[in-house]
Amino acid sequence: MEIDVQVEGKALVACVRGRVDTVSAAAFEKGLAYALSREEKWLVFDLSGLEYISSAGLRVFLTTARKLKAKGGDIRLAAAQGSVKKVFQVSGFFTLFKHLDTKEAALATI
Amino acid sequence: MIKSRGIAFRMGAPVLAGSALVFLVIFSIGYLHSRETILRNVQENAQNLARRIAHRIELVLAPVEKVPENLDIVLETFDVNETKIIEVLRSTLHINPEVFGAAIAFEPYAFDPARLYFSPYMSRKGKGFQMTHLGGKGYHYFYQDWYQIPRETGKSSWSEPYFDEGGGDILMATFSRPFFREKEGTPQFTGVITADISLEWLEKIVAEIHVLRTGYGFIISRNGAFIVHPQKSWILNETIFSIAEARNDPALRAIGKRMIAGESGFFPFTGDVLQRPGFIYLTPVGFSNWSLGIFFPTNELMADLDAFRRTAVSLGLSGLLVLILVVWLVARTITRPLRTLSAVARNMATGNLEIEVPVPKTGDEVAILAESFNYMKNSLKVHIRELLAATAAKEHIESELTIARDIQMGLLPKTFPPFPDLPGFDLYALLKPAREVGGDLYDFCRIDEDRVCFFLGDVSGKGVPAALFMAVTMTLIKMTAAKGLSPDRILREVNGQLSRDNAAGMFVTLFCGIVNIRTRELWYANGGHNQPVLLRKSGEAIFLEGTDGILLGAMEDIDYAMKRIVLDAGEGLFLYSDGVTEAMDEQERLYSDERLLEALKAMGQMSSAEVVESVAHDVISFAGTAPQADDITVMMVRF
Repeated sequence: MEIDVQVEGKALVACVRGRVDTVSAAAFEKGLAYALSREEKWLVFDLSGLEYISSAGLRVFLTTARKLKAKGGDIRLAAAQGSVKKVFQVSGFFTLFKHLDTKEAALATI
Repeated sequence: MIKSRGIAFRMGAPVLAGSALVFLVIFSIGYLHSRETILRNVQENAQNLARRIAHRIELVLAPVEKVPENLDIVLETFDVNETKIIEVLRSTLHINPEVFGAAIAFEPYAFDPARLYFSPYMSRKGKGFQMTHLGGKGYHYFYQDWYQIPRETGKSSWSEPYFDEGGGDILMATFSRPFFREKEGTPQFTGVITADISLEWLEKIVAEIHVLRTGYGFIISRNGAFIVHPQKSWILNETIFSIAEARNDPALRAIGKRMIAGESGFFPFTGDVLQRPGFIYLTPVGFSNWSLGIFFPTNELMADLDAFRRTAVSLGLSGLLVLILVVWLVARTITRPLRTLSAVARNMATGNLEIEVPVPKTGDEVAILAESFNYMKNSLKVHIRELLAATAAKEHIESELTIARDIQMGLLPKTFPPFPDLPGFDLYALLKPAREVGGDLYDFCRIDEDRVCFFLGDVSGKGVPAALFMAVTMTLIKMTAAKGLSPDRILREVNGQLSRDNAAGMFVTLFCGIVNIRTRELWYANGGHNQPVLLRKSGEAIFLEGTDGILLGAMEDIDYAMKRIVLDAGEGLFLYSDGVTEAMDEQERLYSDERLLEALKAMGQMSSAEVVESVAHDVISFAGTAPQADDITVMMVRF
């Protein structure tokens, strides 16, 4: 699992690559701590490089969203592929969070 | 004394080898230098000695050569008769003690037209003198060398040495000088004046030559005959060339040639009587074309050098011995604490951390090592103590986790068939736990005569939080289901309860269904869980039409959709957790939906228990040796 966070306009973009399983979910959460400590209220997850996500990984999205909503912001999901996209779909995440096909489109909704 | 390949050896060998090499080089240079110096000194000494000897010989010979000259002047100046001549000869011998005899030999009839021979010869006899007239029938002196050679050459010359036959076996040589008288305006050869000399003094001078211990001098004539030589039998009997011939020694012959050619110099020499190897210094002697040779035996010449060599070698060897001793002692002082340290380390390795490591007082690297050992030992003690504490703590936690796992597993129903009074209802479920505590759950309950509620879910995360959340979820669902609510309402209720005060952000995916055995209806709702598979009687396996609902615990006040289908006899519903489709093999490939559908296709006629066990077996054999990351939970419902 790799994650890097960049500022794009008034939002942060977190690019997540590789596998987020039970073990790497903790590292995933830690990697986002920086993003949550900043002023930006909006966080776009670029999931184009994400290969696998477990339920422990999904929890990180939920807690992140909860913290940003408390600040008046939210998260956006972008470019989930294949089995990852299906996991999001099945678990109802796409009803909880907006998902767009590209990062740019996701940024445009903010 | 030195252990092979030990520190002593590794330290000693190069030091000794280096020292030996240095010694050898110094010795060789010193030896060569000394040899050169000795040879040069000997050569210089030989040269001086030889010159001195030659000079002494010349000191004797030169006056002798003056004698005939003086006689000539006397004869020419004064008109002398026979008596006067004899007187002159007597006084000459008297004045010149080194002259043995002198003669004035005239040409035939030159002195007295009446006498063919006229040659008065005065020689010593005992303490007095003896007068002889040479010439006669038996002795035509005109044909003797001493007369003939000066006559023919017109020059003075020394005869070859000879033994005086009359004078008592004395080695003699004769100097002959021609004299001339004016006749009709031109000088006319008139006769020869001679002076004999005994060569006994020559022998004495040469005998005084003492070089080294047994070195000696010798003189050869211009023909190579030995005139003076310590080997008396050689004198006049042998020449240097006859010795060379007898010994078949070309080198000696070459030396002989150098000698009669009047050369000087220092050369290797093989002509010793005893045939010892040696050197010779040559120098010509006097005006006689004689040659003086001084012989140096090599072994005596090199005696100093040998002494030097013996001293140097013994000094070098004893130095090396001392060095070996020193190296050994030094190495021992280094290795002894090392050996002690090694023994202590071995002891320590058996687990004895109470042993004290002796630290040498030298303060060197070994002492530092010993101190490091002590430090390591103390660190190990601390570390082991901490490790024991940590292990105990971990075991404590692990046993609690095992208990938690047991409690969690105890919550799951394991009695099948669940409702023996419902013969057509075939439900079987299995949860194969991963090593770590997971959060999968399943259960079922009877709502009334005809209706059975069943559910299967998966709590996010692992460990005790997941187990607790799972227990809470199971309790909530069973409570809610018992109220007789429909699946969508059950999910809504449970979601509401879970979402409230869910600070940890835990959630659960859940599929919930209620079947009516009589009407063969199935009502179902899905809270973010994997879509179950519908097994048709034909063997077809398809995903149940979805009701995309949100997982439970994320957000309050969420409505869930509900669907209803009617199942034909022999049809069944297969539920599973993502531990099935996301099981991985050694190459990290997923088991996947496709493989699951493919596996289920062949199971249309199997009982629920058979389907469950078959799928579980398939997943496990797919995973192979890859560790099971998540709980594998499967449930099959047929009615």
